[in-house]
Amino acid sequence: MSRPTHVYIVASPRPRTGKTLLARALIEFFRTDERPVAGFDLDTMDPMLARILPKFALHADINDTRGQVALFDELIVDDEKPKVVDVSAHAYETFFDLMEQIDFATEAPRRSVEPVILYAANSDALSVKSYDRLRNRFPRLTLAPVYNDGIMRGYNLRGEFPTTNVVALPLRIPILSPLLRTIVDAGPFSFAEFRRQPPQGFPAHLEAEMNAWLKRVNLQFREMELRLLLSSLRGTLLGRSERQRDPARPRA
Amino acid sequence: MSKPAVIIVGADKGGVGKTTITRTLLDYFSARKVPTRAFDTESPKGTLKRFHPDVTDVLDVTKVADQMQIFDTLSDSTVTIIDVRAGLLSPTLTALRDIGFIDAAKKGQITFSVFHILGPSIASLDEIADTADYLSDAKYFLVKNFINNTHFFEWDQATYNSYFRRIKDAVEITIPKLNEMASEQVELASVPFLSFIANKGADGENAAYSFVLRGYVRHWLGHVWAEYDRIKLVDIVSPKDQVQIRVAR
Repeated sequence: MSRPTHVYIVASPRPRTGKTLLARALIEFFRTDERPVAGFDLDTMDPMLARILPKFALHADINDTRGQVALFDELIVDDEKPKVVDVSAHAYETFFDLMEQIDFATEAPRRSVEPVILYAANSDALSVKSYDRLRNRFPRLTLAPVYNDGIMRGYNLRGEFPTTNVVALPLRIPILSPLLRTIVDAGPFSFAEFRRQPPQGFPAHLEAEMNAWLKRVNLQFREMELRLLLSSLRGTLLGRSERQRDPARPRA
Repeated sequence: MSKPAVIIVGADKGGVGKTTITRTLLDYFSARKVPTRAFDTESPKGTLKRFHPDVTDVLDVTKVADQMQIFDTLSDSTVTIIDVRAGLLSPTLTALRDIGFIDAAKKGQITFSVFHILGPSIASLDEIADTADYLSDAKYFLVKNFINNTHFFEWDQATYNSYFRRIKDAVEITIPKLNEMASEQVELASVPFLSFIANKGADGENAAYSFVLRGYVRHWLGHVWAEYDRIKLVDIVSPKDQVQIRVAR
């Protein structure tokens, strides 16, 4: 049985909510496993993801039809290669309006492509309202809130960002100390390369912090992937057993 | 009692999307299993036939022989759609009057509908006035087709209403704009909208059309068909008693 192709959509209607860090960490998680991955950076003003990971993330502009075709015709391909889309705040409405208009949420699963929305949550009222709107717009999609400790700053917002099923458990991104954050953002710095071999001369205390951070984040990514795969397997087995009971039942 | 249904799609000038509307009608009826045939009057080379070759004939509606081909073969089980050459709506209606077609519609022997595709210029409104005399017993649909970022319309609402009211029971239909690239790709593919959405080529083979552009066409066609549902188009051309009779047969 082939695995579904997951499309991870990292999004928030607000800027500076840790989206790019999350998208980057996810791409590097797959790289650490030496698995192919494709990233897409929708930020037309400051495409940081494409700049830091030029070999793994393309810049995409969905403000015209050509750019929309280039992006979504790639996202719909069932090649078992995970895709990570960093949806900037500026592109948020355009992206999800387009996704709704072309019925991506319905068509993708028919081709064994599973969209997963990782929503970078924060306490802003717009953020809360937009999350609720996404849930209603795409009720069948996995929508998981992501809490970045550096953004949340002690807030407990679980009530504002309810999860819809056991697959979509929240993720929590721990804080990076300011010095480590500066090193990570300065580039060229790769989490996957760091895991294989930290740069020479890297301070020991920062190395320990980085390893601890990566361990926590990657563990959550792995558990999320397992939940998605189990859910997909359960869906396939249920569909198969229903077809065994009723061979005339059409495949989804 | 069953009777033949004829739909005329016309416009006073070219480029307002008349044949596009005809294509949406053919797809609409096809999806609802209503047998349909079409006549493209852009003789000798019709655009419509390129997209719906199996159900379309190209002819010249001003020629008697071609008029006979259409009207002597009307059937109560098949809807006839006539895509009238741009600028020939009024002359076509005159020809229909002369052969007794309008009278037959008045007597209830034929279900007659006109889809008048409006252009943005005020001249379009004059053609409404011109056609009013022929349409007392026809279903008349004024179609605003938003193509090419058309700024509808050059006239104000009051002026429009004054023309609109000249035709009894006229109904307005609004056709939204289809994404330009999607429209272009469907043209290049030369297939019905439904085939493009289903990613099928002219012979039913699998195609490789853009997922995004297919989505745009699907979304747009859904809106167009919602308008046809709103005006109960299937009930107009194929009343339920006729459907039941066809099923019974």
